[in-house]
Amino acid sequence: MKKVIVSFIIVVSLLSVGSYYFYQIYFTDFIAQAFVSNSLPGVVPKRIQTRMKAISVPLNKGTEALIQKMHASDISIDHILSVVDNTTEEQAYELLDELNSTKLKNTNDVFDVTKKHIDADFNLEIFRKPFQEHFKMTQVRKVLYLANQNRKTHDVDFVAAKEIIKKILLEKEKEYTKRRIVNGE
Amino acid sequence: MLAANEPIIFIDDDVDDHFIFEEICKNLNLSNHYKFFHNGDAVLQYLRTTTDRPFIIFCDINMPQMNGLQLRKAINEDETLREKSIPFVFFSTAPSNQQIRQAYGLTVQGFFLKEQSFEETKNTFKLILEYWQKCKHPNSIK
Repeated sequence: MKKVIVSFIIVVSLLSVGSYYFYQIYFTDFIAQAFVSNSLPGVVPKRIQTRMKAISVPLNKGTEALIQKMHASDISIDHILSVVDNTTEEQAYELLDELNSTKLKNTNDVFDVTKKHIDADFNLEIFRKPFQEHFKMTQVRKVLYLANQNRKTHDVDFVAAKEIIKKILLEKEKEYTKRRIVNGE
Repeated sequence: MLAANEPIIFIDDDVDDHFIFEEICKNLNLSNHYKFFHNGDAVLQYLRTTTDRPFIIFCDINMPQMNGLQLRKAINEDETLREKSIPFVFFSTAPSNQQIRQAYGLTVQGFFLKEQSFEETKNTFKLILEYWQKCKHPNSIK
């Protein structure tokens, strides 16, 4: 009997580790790749697919603009990644709460609120212009809706969401470097 | 409850707004009761040829080619469409005072703002639908 219990515990532990590995590494890789390549994998639940489709364009355009501006301002990708790493779930929800409760007139207001909740060791102001150029208020409304929904459903948890964002940033950085090499810059 | 041939018509060139309205319809269990159009020309063609009896039209103001005000004017000027008396409501993000005045000059049934919050937009939308479901209309007269 003892042997059965021990075997059961081992199997459950292995499954848990496997699930964790699948979710935190494979799943986040998979989703990040899907975003970057603009292709929706059929194995992802439809509910998540719909949300991915809804934010794919602004997310791709936004991260591309961010990487370009980052290079133009001599900020390294590590700086950006550390901002993502250092953002806590509490900070993210405080930001979401303030965005929800503020009458946002334009993307400039959105940037002001967002900046207040992000800690960075460089001047975030450099991203104001690209943010205003690449985001419309209709997209902000949509992203806010999706973030509020995810807060309720926890389809993608905060740690996984951060991993996905970091992987997208790294992919866009790779694309940017590749383009520069091709163009002989 | 709306019949299958009484679609809610949305006219908006912004795909992000289509997404929001689609989510609102899903939330209100109206998944099979709406049709989206990206511009005024496409909806005019539909209205002139369909056998559907559209329940209501939600229209954005600022659109390329034919804008919302021009569409409303075209409907008013078409005798058949005017007789159908389809409630016509504007939904806009940041309308000017002049646009609001112009809209009411074209006898629209309402002018609403696209709210920042999904819940607020959904509630406004629900309120309008409930109002028109209660309201007597040429289509509801037997």
